Amino acid sequence: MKFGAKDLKRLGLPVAVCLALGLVGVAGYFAADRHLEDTKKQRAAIAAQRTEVQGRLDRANEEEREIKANLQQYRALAARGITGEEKRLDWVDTLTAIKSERRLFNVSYSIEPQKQLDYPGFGAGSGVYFMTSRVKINLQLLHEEDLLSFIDDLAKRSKLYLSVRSCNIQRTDRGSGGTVLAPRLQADCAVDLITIRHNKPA
Amino acid sequence: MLRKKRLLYLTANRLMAYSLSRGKLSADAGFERNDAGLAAFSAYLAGTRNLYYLVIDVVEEDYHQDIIPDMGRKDRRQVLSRKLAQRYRDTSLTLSLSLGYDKGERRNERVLYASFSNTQQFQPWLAALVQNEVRLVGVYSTALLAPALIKGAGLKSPRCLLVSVQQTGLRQSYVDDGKIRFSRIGRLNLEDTAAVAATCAAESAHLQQYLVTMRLLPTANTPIDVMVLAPGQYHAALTEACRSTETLRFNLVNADTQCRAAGLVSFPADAPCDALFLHAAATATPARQFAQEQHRRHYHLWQLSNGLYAAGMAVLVSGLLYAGVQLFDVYNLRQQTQTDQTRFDALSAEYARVTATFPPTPTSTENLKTTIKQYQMLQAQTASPAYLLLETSKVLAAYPQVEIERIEWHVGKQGQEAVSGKGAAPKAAAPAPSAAGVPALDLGYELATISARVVGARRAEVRAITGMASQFIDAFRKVPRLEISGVRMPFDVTAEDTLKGDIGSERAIAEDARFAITIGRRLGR
Repeated sequence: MKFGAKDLKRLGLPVAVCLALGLVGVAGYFAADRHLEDTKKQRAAIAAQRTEVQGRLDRANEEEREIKANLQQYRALAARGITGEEKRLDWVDTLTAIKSERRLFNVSYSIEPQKQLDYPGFGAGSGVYFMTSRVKINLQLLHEEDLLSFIDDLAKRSKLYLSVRSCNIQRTDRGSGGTVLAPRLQADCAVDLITIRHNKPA
Repeated sequence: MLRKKRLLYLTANRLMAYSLSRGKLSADAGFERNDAGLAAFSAYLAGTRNLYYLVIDVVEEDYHQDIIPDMGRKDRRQVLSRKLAQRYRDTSLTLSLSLGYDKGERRNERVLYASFSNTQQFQPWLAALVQNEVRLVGVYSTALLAPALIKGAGLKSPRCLLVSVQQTGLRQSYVDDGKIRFSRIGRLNLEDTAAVAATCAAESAHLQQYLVTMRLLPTANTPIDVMVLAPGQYHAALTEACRSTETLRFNLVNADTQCRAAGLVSFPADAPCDALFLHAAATATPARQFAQEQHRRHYHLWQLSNGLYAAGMAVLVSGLLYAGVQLFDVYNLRQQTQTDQTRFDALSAEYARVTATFPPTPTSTENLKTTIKQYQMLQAQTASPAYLLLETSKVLAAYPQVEIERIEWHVGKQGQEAVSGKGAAPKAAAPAPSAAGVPALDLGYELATISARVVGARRAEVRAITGMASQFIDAFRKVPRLEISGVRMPFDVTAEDTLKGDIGSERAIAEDARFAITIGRRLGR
């Protein structure tokens, strides 16, 4: 049977109602489906949180022991001055004192601006910031053992954590056998002065 | 919602309009076949939204049996249309009814053509229906409804003659195998009960003879059932008059009782047979009817609209059902989530209570943990030149001919050092996996590039110088945990490079007999 324009006009309302009902049905289908998925995710999140806190509660004793151990180490670091602001003048004083005590030849240094530590395994993201200042030191030495003693003293007496990154030792007086006490070696070292901060650096 | 059905009973002189709702058949109005009647009928139809069934009960009917070859649907339709046009001048109220196929080789189809001899008398009524956009389900003759009445009465005989006493007269309809084959109507004086009964019996016998003559019955003695349908008032007289014979088996059916059996709660008391035909039209509507498409346009539009509504509702209901099932799952999940949340809150409170007894920390426990963990990692990456210098010193003590000129010590990754050459150590091993199976962090190496020379040797002593350097380097290979990542020999004695010498100047000290080696140790071990 063929329908004319008038007939099709009569079918306008049924078509509109059919489409509207169909749309509501389809919308209901997808809305319910999405709602279920959201609820599933919510359930999974709560379940995961519950499992996590359950695990933490189970490990509470162990955690307490761990906190105590960590706290002890942390206090040691704080007592040494590694946490908090970098105290450069203290470090310079230490350097000066070692130079005098060890009767070293000339010691020159250059401290670079502080930045965040970029060693393997260190990165942004946690609430702890390891800061470093690279120091370049030039030493005139009589013997290589002087260098090792100098580094050892610096590491022990400095209120900052010391990490030696490089040392180039070069002979300067091959074959001179004079009686005058003169440096025979030259060392160029790079060391990192490291501090720990818990507030984000500016 | 059950919509009220309208039933129109059209005879030669008038049209009766009935309503059928919840088993109640009631006469709405009657319209005479004149201008006033047609106008009243049109007014009756105005604005109607009910379904209409038109039942025609007139004398002028025609039934003709034909045989057509078996063919495809489209061809069959065209052939039947052509046959109807050949037989009837006006095809507006015609139908063709398949009576089945011959069982012979050619498998011809037996077809019954039916129409009304004078269709013009119906046109004003049909025009009124079209004009008022009436949803006309179909146009039926009383004969076309006969099979439904026989079936409704419970008669299962393959050959049955329905004799019905109606307002218009005595209707006789012969039904073979559930299909109408012939029908006619005769005059009847309804006031004379005995005459009605006698006419029923006599006309049944006459029609049996006619059917034999028309070869609608196989033999003259072929028995047929006769269903006599009449109002209850004729029942006694009919019982007396209608005696079964060898060829006629009478079955008297009380129309009043049959109406109630069919489900009619109320019906016009003076026309129970007509009521049964009308009821059959509305409730056991035959598949075939007389009206053409132009008369049924609004019915088809209504069907299509209903189909659209039904489709929309089906999608809506399906969507809502699915949504319901999903929401039930959501409800269950929320119950479980609520349980988890309650448990989580309780555990959190318990954890807070337990951690309240922990010693106070200068920062959060996580920060504290991270600080110590990273500090330990820092310690693992911190090195002093002391170890490599000490190992170098030990090796050097055994080789007084070797003098060190320069040591470049640094922390970094293996392979970044400048020295390279033959005798290089094997490639650095990959970081060892941790206990958890995760590759351990590569903390790098402390490396020392030692530049040295063989002292006191002459330039011509290439073999001796090379041998001394090799021994010195090999000595490092024996040191545990040391890796050699680069070697540069004093002379390249391989065939791939140029080797220069000055054999004549034996006094010349080999100033250029320098070599270098890079040794390293992995950090964190």
